[in-house]
Amino acid sequence: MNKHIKRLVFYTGLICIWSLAVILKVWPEYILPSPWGVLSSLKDGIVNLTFITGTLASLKRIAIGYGFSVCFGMILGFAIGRIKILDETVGSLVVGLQTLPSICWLPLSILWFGLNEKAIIFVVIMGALLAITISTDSGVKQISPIYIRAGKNMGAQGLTLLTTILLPAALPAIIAGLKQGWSFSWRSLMAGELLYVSIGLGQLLMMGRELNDMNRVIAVMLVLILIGVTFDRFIFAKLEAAVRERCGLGERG
Amino acid sequence: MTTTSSSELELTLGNLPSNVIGHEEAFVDISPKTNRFQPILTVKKVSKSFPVAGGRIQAIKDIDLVINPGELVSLVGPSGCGKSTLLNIIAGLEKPDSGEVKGNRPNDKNLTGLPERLLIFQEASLFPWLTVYDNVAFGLKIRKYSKEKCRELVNKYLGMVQLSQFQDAWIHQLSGGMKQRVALARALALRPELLLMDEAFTALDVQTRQDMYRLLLRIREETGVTILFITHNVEEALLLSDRILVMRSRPGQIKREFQVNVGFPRTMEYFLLKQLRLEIIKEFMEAGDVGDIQGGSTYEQAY
Repeated sequence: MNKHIKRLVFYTGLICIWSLAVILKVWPEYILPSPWGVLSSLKDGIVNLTFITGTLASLKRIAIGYGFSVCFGMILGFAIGRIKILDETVGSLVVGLQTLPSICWLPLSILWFGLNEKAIIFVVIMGALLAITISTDSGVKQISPIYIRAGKNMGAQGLTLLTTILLPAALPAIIAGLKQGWSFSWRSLMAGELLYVSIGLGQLLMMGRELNDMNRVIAVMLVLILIGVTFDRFIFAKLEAAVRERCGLGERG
Repeated sequence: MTTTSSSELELTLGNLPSNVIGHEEAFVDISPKTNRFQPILTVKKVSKSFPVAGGRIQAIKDIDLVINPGELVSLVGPSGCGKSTLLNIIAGLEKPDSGEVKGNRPNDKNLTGLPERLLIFQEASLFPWLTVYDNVAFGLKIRKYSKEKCRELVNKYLGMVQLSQFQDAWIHQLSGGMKQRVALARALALRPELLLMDEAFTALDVQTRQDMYRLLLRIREETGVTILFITHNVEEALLLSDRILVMRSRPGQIKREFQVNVGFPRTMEYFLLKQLRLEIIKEFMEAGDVGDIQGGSTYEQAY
């Protein structure tokens, strides 16, 4: 509880300083907008549904792109982690491609797919896929051989071995990869949306700049932070905590 | 979350009434239809080599081994003598270069599809992502046993190792000795003919180890399970076995066999066991192959 009070005091203070700077006109309004201006822009955006449609459009892209990456990244990771020939060939390619910032796929993607939805989803996929593949691969390689021996000895083979031993044993690493993949693809999506116009949060942000509407720029940024925090704190952090507790890492972490 | 420390858990256990799993539960022999005249395991001329830098190393060579139903046989040898390789081959986890391994399973339809020989490892091999209950139920669940049947078997064998009240605990909450007891229950729940114990008690402290000896002997009495026990501790072998096989390294071979015709409970104070210990240790000394063999001067006992 104490922590929450401290936070409340901190943010109240921050907003007070911000308001004071606006009232004293330290910077002109087009550089530093007022908190109430941002708030009313946020309210307008929600009431006239532009923020809602923008958010939904962006979330739909990430759901498709990230969902695809999760499925195929995990399959690819397991394959590379368990099959030596794939590790030696595809494995090195994945590590190489991972060094490429995913937004650098955008020019190629536009040439392949044109200026449309597919191009941007491709960039989102390239953001998350390789990160998830690499984490899954290393998670599978780090599984203590004794679990596999024990499982096989008790009769777990093939698909049963995969679902009852390999997957749960590699789960902590996989979740770390899912989290990293999420933030990569979220960043790629925003970069993609900023670079060319189509409905989405990135586009709303860019429109704010074009209209010289600082209130709107900050308001959209607040929406982005809110979405980011929701996923990081409430989805991935909870997932990680659950896995850590099971594996007995809870008390130490 | 609240976790009880291991030592506290052990303490609570110590206070349990001894009749919790008492003999009056009239335990049915797990292999009622085994042909008592047939060995439970026959190993014939098994050899295995591994590639190393600049050639191959012969891990084990021409191993012959016969284990009869209900026996507890120990295989004693220094580290690197190929004990674990032999055990992996017997367990079916590795293929021998030559030779054959044959089991003997009774025609009991309750046992079809269940593994005949199960390993108990030195390190904890329990799955940390499952609770104690789910660990013991693992082999049953992958064979699609019904919930009721799982519960019945898990309760029975967790009871046998006196860990019933820990069925919902996570593995990391258990002490070393408790982990090995869960591992025993997990293997027994699949009702194997032969338990292969690979240095299973080596990592435990002396006190816990003695409790485990007692437990193992009682489990053997209650279930009639046959046990092949691998160790580099001569006294451990003497306290538990009906028969001790002495193994030597490079290449791994069985050199000598000792019968231990001493009733249970045993203590190392027994003259015959002391004599045997000297003889076994002499066997290694003469071959210059003592390695990490422990003869120990500690007087451990098994009740």
